[in-house]
Amino acid sequence: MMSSRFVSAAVLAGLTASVMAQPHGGRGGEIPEIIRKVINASQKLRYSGKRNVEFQKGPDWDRHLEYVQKDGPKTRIEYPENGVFRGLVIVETERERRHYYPDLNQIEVLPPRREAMLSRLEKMFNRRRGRPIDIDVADGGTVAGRDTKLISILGPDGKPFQKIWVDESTYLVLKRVVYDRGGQAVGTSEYVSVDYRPKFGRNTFSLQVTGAKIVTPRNELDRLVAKMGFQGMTLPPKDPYKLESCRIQRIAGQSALVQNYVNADGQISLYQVRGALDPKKLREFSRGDFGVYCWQEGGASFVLIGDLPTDALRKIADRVTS
Amino acid sequence: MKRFEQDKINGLEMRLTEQELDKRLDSAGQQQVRTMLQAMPEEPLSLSWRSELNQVLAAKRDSKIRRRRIAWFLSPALGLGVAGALAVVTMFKTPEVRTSQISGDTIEAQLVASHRNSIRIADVTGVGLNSYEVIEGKNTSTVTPGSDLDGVDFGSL
Repeated sequence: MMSSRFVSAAVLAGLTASVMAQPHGGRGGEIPEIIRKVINASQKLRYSGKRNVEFQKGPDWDRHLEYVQKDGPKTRIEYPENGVFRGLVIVETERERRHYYPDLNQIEVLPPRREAMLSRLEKMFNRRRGRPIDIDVADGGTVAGRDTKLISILGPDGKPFQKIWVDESTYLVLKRVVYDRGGQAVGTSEYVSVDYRPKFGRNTFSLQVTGAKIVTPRNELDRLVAKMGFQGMTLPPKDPYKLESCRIQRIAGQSALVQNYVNADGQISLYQVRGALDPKKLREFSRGDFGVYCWQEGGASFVLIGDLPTDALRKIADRVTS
Repeated sequence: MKRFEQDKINGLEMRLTEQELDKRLDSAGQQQVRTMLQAMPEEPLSLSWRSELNQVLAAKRDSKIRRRRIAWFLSPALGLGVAGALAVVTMFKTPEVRTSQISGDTIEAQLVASHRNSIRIADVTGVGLNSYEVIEGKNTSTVTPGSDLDGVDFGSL
């Protein structure tokens, strides 16, 4: 009798403890309800507001103010007249994203960026591979005059890698802080005011400027390849991953051609550098946070990095052509 | 040798009939032993001894009940305690400390850091300007169309 009661109690307590020890949403397919509401709200809410954005840029911080107008998946962002981005307009729809640079009289046409953070968060909870994440929900006080819930998104080490303050009534993300591995904040964005009854014009979410030059990231890629002598290796335009941006970046003292691609799953980066790289070191430095696939061709090294398994990146690499 | 003799006796007795046994029991010697036994005084059991025995038995019974009661509480409590201790160890287990140090000056490390920073800042900026668009500052007079960005070190972001 004693042994059976002992075993029963131990099993009961063990089950209770295992349930308590489980992260809120760390298991595949279990997105916490509050996160699901935030994701849904991001595609449905209608509002306008002023948002402060700050992020670390080397030893300094970049700070700027944005005027945001949002109608479901459509967004328009403008910048103050007295700032460095005066006249710059961003309009994003389900199909595309446009940046208008008045000084250049140029419109860049890009793939939609959406809320990368939310899609990444959803993916983290959905995927069965990878390390578990957890959330902690607490009272967040007031942001932009609205009562909020503070959601801390915790990594496997229990440290928050991101905190978001969501409107208790609408689930709009009113503030977010992103942290590095050491727990230091590297960027924040925060609404200082928000209006849930905005008035939008007929053309608020379209961007057409007579006489403006239309450019795409592929135009810029062609220019950089020709100017800097890189190989024109790229994913084809019809690939599910769309070229969002490209640039030359100084990395460890040498020039690298960086191409960022996006699709609904998130962002991947394609780097091209001259000379050889050590794939083992790349894997070591990615520390399991990202998948890395590296290959060499024509005297250059190519590296694909993204939040995907290495096999998936290898398949994407097979589609990279000149 | 002894075993042989024992077998011999057993064999002899097996061969005795019931009548022979009755005859032997009715022998003079047997009668004398019977008379002696019947003549022995019958000693009644002492009441005080019985009482002491009952008290000892009662004490032993109470002790057994107490032990059962304690066991009734202790067995699940012990189980809960063991499981609870395991749960505490599981829940408060110190996260695995990654000891490998990353040298940030290799090109491999900086490539990965570049992507990591790009993702982090994208999380902050959302659908607004990202870090590279801010740095390029295309709308400022310092950058002209088709400007060469080679001199800008983005690696430190």
